[in-house]
Amino acid sequence: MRQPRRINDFERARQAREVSLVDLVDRLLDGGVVIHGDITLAVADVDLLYVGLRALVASVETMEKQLGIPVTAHSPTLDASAV
Amino acid sequence: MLYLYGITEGFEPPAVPGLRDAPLFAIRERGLAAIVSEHDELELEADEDELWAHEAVVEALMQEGAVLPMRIGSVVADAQAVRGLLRERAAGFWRTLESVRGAVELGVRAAATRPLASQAPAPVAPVPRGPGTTYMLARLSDKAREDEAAGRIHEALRPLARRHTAPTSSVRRGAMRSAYLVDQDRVDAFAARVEELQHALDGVSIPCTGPWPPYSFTQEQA
Repeated sequence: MRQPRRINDFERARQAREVSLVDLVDRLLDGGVVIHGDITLAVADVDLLYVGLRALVASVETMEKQLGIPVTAHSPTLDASAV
Repeated sequence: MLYLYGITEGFEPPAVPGLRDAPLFAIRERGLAAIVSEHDELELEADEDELWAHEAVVEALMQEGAVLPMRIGSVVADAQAVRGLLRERAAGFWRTLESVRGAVELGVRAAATRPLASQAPAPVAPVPRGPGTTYMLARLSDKAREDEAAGRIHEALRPLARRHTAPTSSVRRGAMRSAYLVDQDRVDAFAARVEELQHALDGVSIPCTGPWPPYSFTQEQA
């Protein structure tokens, strides 16, 4: 049986950040107020941003599944005590 | 052109820099304020720093009061256009601000964490199944475990939330993904409930992120 991979604090912190990033990508690209019509000038690279980040998200999901550790992640600029 | 970060209840924008270090300012109409920065040109890179830069501004706004975050990349020609947007949608923006005031968004996912069939140890004795069958049965069991866990998790967390999104499955692996709008004074209770679930449910990982601005709850309230 494959040995569970040991995870040090640094890796855990990095993983927490990347799990946060997955959630951030979901929110900024799929959520939020959307404005329509001729007052909107498309920002040229939003589609590219999506494609580029989707690859990153896929790799994080794979990593999370393989490592199989629970991660409670917080967005780095806001903690629960601040709200 | 003006880059939009969020729509607020009219408070002064905090002293934090916008994208490319541009200063933030407010454009006001009907008591609402759109928080913007001005740019001659602006191309967003496909890079996480851009996302965090937008997010940092919205989080700073969230410290001041209720905010409706914009989707990333929202750009408007000029101040007149922003005022027109606020005027046209004022009633909906106000209702939606009311609905998120005093609450934050928390993200919850759930995924099976046991080794996949492809990584499972080989059986000691021969079994009357081909390797493909064994793999598929294990995969189905992953899926069933995730579905069952997702249901329990959602039922346990829902009572602590003001609103929630319908739990959705990720395309890749059928895992539950949901967002909860939680009163600020219930965030600790929510986090504790997630912790309890994590201990109670074997073989399932439950990452919980936040507090986020209410990105998943900005649909205008009827």
